[in-house]
Amino acid sequence: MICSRPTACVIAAILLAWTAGCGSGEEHTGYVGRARPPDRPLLRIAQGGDPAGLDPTRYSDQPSWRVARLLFEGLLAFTSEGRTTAGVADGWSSNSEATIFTFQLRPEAQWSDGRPVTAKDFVFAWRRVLDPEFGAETAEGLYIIKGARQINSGKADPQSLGVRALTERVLEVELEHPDPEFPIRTALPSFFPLPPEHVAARYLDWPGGLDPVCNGPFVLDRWLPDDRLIVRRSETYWNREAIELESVVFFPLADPNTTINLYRAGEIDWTTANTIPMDQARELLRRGAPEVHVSSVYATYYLELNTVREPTNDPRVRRALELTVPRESIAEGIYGTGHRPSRVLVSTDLPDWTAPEVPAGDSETARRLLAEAGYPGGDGLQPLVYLYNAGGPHGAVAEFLQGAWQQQLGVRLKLIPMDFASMEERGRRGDFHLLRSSWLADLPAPVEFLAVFQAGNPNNLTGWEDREYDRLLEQARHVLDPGERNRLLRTAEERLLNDAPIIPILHYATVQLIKPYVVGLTPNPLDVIGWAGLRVNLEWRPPR
Amino acid sequence: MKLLRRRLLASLPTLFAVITITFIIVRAAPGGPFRDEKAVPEAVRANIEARYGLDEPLAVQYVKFWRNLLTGSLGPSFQHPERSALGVLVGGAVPSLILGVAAALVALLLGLGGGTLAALRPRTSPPVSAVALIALAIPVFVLGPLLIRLFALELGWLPAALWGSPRHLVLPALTLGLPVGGALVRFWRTVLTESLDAPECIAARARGLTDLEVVRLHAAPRSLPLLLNYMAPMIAALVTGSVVVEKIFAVPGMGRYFVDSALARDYPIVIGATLIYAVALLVVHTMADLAHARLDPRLHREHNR
Repeated sequence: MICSRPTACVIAAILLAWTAGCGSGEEHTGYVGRARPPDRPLLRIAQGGDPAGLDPTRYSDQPSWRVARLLFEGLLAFTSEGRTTAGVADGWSSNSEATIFTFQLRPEAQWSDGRPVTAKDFVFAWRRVLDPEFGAETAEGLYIIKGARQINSGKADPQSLGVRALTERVLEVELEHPDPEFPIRTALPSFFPLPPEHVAARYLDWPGGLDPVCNGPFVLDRWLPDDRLIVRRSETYWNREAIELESVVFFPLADPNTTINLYRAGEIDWTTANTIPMDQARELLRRGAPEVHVSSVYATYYLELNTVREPTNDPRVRRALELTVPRESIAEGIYGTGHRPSRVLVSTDLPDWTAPEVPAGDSETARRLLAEAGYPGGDGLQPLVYLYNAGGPHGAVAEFLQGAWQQQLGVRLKLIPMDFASMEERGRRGDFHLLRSSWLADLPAPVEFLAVFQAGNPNNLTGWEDREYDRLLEQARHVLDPGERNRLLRTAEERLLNDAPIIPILHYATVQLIKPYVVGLTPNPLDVIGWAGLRVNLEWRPPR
Repeated sequence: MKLLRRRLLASLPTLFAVITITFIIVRAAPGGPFRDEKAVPEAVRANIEARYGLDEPLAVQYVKFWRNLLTGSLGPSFQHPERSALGVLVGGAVPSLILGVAAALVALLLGLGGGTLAALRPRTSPPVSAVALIALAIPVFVLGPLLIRLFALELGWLPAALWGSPRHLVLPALTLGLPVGGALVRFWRTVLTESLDAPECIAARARGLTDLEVVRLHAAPRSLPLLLNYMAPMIAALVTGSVVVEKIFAVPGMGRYFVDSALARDYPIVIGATLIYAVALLVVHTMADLAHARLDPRLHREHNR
């Protein structure tokens, strides 16, 4: 009856068979779509959006950073494995307190117009980032330099910044507090140098549509906004011999399906972190396709609890909720792409870091805690307001928690999806009980995570403050021995988790596709690329 | 000419209202621009707001906004601060316009062709209507991937996405144009069928004109005013960019700015995009009215009275 017409029947059958056969050819070859290298040394990269702009020091979005690291280079740089290496500086040292650092600049480092990179270029760029008139969102990253905060608040003269060009090739930096790991920080784009003679003329909006004079391994070829950004190998980069790629093309692809389609069609060689659809990533992982790379990333998914408003102001209620989060089901069932369930804030992948003990307990403990707080079986509890930013899997996570807490504790949730800006604003007003949140560390240091909950940090919406916590973090900042510093930080995290103003859920992972002919590209937790030695094997052909 | 002048004058208050309302609404939305996942310290926020004049009273911002607008500037885009908002939008408007015109051609070709066929040969009407209904009913976010799957990934005839050559235009134009074409088939068939029953068409047939001649000389001219009314808003929507189709095919058009800029609270782009859409609507409607007046002498006379 459904197919009363033969033609319609046949068409429907063909369509069905075709859809069902999706990917069957790939199962056979083992490759994800077409695997054939381009005809010249070229790397085509898909990223989730266009860079905000080309000034390396001004923006903090990942596309901007990726492009900045191609066009510019700081005192230190990153390798393909995500480790730091010498950049413009070929040597550095510090005083015994780790408050004053001296960097020696390599003489062969030069700008794309041929002028050598000098210490003054760093001094100029850093002062500009902190200039209140410039209004850079990245300024906070430089607050570790002596006097930076006062300058950025308009209370001090930019000339007073704790950074000096001792000679053309020696840069001295004085810090606000000791930080033995300061040199790593200089590999972040906000610390990159700029050529003052080119920037000064368009001080506020450089390069503003012009080709930037830069000092990195590549120079800009052309940028067609929303379409593509093309760079070509620099002729002046000090380490140009190690750069094998002739050019790199970035495609700002907002739609994950478009990204994987173009990858399959052989028009993209690398899909950067989480730019392909999650269900397809899961499927490819299941198949064990060798082009799929999962990497941990220093980022944590957690919920913020309002510690000011009833009933989440009661630590027992917060702990009860924390104990009954179905983390395994969320990580596996909703994500299933390498995300790892976690009860701690600081990423457990950080080098030399051991996570603290978390308070033990099961759902029985949770029910008892809730009863002690005066809500046995959830009696007398109004539904808790749970805010999350709509889009991605956040709605699914919220519904999962809604089910689990209702079932195990009798706690009901009122789920409110919002756009990010609205959620942030409402969170800041304290009009919530639970709020979805996450933190991504720019550097492999535990304090990058823990500082979020130090008093006065604008990213902490929980209202939670703890003097002892703040003291431990402050103390850790002045300790040079890494073991001792980590011990203090671990104690601090323990305090945080015991009081449960947040509920950590999982540590993020990234899924990336890399064509088999790309050599020397290793996905890493900091999501950085070392361009030296990265190449495309043009002779590569699928083995028969 | 008189009509044109009158229409243009009448559109000025409309544009003024559109701009003012958008100006107020975007600023009334909770949150603000420059809010990433990472919040920044108060001093940094204050510096950013001062730089873009967001710290000033709303009335002052409004006056400054108009002063800028009258000199042809919307200020910098908040998402891409090195670029002017107008530059961002104009850069996106060109691909959107090209895609929109191509999609409109697809729709007209399909719609008028199919509609005429179905009206002239009633026996073909059910299958033509069925095909039209399918084209109309498949949402673009399904149609686009289906076409990509077939023509790009399986057959390899056309690019899966991206922009830059006529080949890149085919699939997005089909995706955007087919559903509109499907709707147009059904509309045109109905309109034309009615026109064909009009006395002069029957008379024309009796004089021995072929079906196509009857349509060309009598039925189509009769139906054109209705078609214009029907198509005007559709064309305005097509040429100002489709969020979904541009996203699926990675077309660097302005469609995405309608959504992204609102979410990012990129005030200059939101206002600019709204303004462009409003102008496109007004232009298309005015053009339709002018054509209408020319096609229908009764209207012409009325206007000139």
